[in-house]
Amino acid sequence: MKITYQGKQVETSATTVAAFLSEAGVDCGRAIVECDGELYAPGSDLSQVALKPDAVLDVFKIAAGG
Amino acid sequence: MAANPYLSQNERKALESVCVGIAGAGGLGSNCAMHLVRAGVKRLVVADFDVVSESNLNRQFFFRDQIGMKKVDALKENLLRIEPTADISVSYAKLDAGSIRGVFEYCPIVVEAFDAVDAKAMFLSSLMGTGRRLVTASGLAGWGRSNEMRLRKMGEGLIAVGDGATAVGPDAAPVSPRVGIAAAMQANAVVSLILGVEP
Repeated sequence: MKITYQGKQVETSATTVAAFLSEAGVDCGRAIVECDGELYAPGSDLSQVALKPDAVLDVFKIAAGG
Repeated sequence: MAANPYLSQNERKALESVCVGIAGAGGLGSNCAMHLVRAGVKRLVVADFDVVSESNLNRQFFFRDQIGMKKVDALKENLLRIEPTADISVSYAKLDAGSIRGVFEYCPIVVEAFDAVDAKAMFLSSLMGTGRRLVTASGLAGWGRSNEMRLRKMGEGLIAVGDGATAVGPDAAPVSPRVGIAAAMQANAVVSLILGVEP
């Protein structure tokens, strides 16, 4: 299925947000995730969040420095 | 004279009425607070557990004669030099999931200005979903690449600024201009939220 990730259309067979982000190399403990308008704090259990066709997924990675 | 005489009375009133929380008083927090007070924000709650050191002077809003002072006390001193009538509450404490909501209980807007990833994650997981507007920053190390510094609105209550990638580490130092860009973007987002315009 196709989803929009970081503003770009990508193809994926992942069925959960956690599975997709794992494939994308994103550490969910160190990222804010927005999926179809729903916001998830770092460390949220995204294995229960289904990834649907045409989903819009955005990630903001947390990086050290302040 | 008000710190910012260029605003309308309504704009000034709005900025003076909102209490803004600043979690961390380092490169992001000290500079963000400075911008906010210069813009006309008068009520701040600032929390930090550190003291000013010489290595902070390359980017943080402190001065050489403040080395050794608690950052919250030094920052309060500097902010009051800009606006003597500002109401600056300080908390000299290392915030954790058990204390952070209490410290910022009366702050409808809170700025995340920590440096450590774990602290940033704690801030977000503790305060997201509490109804507060949060302004976080990540990805500000090094120099150049100004156009990679951007602001993202996420969900209803979160604004994230920075390049979202460049971490401070052995290959990327924290340097004043890029840290300052992020801090100014955070302050600009707060002012926009208070004045009801697109951040």
